[in-house]
Amino acid sequence: MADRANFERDAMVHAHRLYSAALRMTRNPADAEDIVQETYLKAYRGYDKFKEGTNLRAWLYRILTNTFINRYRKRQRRPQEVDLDEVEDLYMYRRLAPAVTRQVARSAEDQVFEALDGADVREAIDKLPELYRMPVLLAGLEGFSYKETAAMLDIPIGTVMSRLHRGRKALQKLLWEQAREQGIIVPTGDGNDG
Amino acid sequence: MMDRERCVRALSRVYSYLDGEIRAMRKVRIRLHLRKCLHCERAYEFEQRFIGFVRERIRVEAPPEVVERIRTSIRDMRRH
Repeated sequence: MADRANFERDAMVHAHRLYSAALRMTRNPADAEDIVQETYLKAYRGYDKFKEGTNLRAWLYRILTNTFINRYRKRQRRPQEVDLDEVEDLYMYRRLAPAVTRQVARSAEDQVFEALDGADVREAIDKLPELYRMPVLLAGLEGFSYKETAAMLDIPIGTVMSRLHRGRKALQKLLWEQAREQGIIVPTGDGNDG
Repeated sequence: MMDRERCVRALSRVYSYLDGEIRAMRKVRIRLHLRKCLHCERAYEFEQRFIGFVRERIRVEAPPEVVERIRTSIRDMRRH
């Protein structure tokens, strides 16, 4: 059993990461603060039920995810901004001159990575429909297992996997388009750059 | 060569591999394939770089006043 006296010390080290995740879930700072605040209060109240030595970060994320889902379940969804059906696997890689030498490929990759800053990447994630954004965030970026993610979102593991997969492809497509808009993509001439 | 059965299989498992969600035997088989196939090896390397890139870019710090407000409310709870 965990001791509430240690709660602030043990739990607050995760505040920045929780806030980062909350911001990607809610897509605005005021709502992000709200759900992180609520998460900490719920966690504090339930801390005597938290088994010490188990994963505190995962426990906090579970509360955060629940708080987010419960609070925003009824709100209006944004129209789907990404057409997820026509995105092929390895979307970005296939467009980054796979036929040329490793060195050339590496520098083309570097060009893309350097051109996209934090705001670009965050904006692309925010454009993903929530259905896909949540698995991408939890399993793809926060590194939770498919099983943990399935439990947090209350969906089957197979659903986590398919949504994660589609979400990742869509994210690559969005970022690729962003990079193209910035004019940094050099077409490879093999007709594979569209 | 892209159309080889092994490449198709290896590439279809890139995310489960990188997410650590793959059985040990499969992992070994993929590693052996990557050693022999430059195309698949580069695809794996790219996806790994991509994940690292996104993770690094999305990280933001919570504003100090937000952290302070959370700490204050935890302390308020302790007092009650």
